[in-house]
Amino acid sequence: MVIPNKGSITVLGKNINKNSEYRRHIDYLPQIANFPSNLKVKELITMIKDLRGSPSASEHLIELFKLEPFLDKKLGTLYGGTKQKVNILLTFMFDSPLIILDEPTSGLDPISLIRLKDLIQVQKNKGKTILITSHIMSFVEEISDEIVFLLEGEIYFKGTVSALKTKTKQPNFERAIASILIENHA
Amino acid sequence: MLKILKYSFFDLIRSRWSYVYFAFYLLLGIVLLFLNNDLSKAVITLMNVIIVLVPLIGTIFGVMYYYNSREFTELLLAQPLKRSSIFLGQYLGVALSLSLSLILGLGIPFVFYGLFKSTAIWDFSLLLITGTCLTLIFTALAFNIALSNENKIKGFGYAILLWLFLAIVYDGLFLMTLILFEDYPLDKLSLFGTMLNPIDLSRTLILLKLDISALLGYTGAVFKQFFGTIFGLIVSFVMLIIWIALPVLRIVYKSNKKDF
Repeated sequence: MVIPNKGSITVLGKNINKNSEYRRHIDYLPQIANFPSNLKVKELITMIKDLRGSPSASEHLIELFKLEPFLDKKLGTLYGGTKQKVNILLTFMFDSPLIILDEPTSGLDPISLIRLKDLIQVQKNKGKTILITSHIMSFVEEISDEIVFLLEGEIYFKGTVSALKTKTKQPNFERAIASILIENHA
Repeated sequence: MLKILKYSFFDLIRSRWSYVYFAFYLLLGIVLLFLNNDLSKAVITLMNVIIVLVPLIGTIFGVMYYYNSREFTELLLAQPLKRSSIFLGQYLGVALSLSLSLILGLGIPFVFYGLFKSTAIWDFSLLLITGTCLTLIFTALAFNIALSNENKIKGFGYAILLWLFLAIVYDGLFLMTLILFEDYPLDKLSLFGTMLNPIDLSRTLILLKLDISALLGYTGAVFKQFFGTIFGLIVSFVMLIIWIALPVLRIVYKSNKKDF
């Protein structure tokens, strides 16, 4: 989304500069779920499918997140949590090797949260690369293999959760992150 | 691009604002016809309303749509689509839904009144064509403003200022210049000045088509000589198309450079 000043970015070994086809291999979940308010959920799903033109499977996700009763409702009338479910549905209905999730848990009820975790686990087991940003530490701890701790654009830590705990000598992940913060901003 | 156009158009024609805009023109058309009982007079009154209102609604709607659909645009940017097609699709979606409200809202009462049997049909078509051109121009300008300003309030401010300038202030400045330099021959200058403002250009075009240029005095005669001919008509339309093309090109250029 941001155009690089210099250097190059490669996705699956291909330079992506001035090219939009690489996005076919990425499923992206935006942080804020805000959709055209006069479209129906069903129409939005068809629209995104239409735009991507890749094979997709939305039925089992609709069932998983119990979205059936909302399909004919307009997006403007949905609650935040339901919008987020639609958002997740739009992301996971494609089968791409890369998945980027920006704060996927926001507004979700506990049941959907568990389902989301399961979903991520299933995708992980398929050998996909998943990049998640989140500020909910318990979620990060549970789901991630490797964490990168960023603060104002700088990397403060990169490695596994247990490595972070040993490094900071804290027993608990949340405190370990907090200790990095305190060290640098005390 | 056509897919984006299709869906944003579907989204917009179902919005409350489109209905209000449509209903307004419908009502205006009906009221004017039944109070006036004269098609060409109704066309003149309509022109005065359209010339001011269409640019205003075009700019406000354009800016509002852009800012409202920001997050959704981000989602679209993550899809395998060209940036220019996303923004052009959205732009055309807004402009076409507004034009549709205008054309249907005014067209329906006039058709029922018996437009096809009347001689005013050409005046009326010209009115609708310029109205559509103005919608295209000002929505494009609005998208330009919105693309250049991250801050919503600023964007809205600039949009209103732009409308105020072209619809009102420009005319004031124009008249002042004419009065200040009244000792000099001004026909060329005023012709040129009219060409540079799409609102003035549309107004002059319609007035001359309605054959009331005598009202404009001496300059009117010069105008008549110019705009009244086929050549003048073509030049004016070329000007309007340039007014559409330049902002649209800038949308493409700007959207390819912008970070989201």
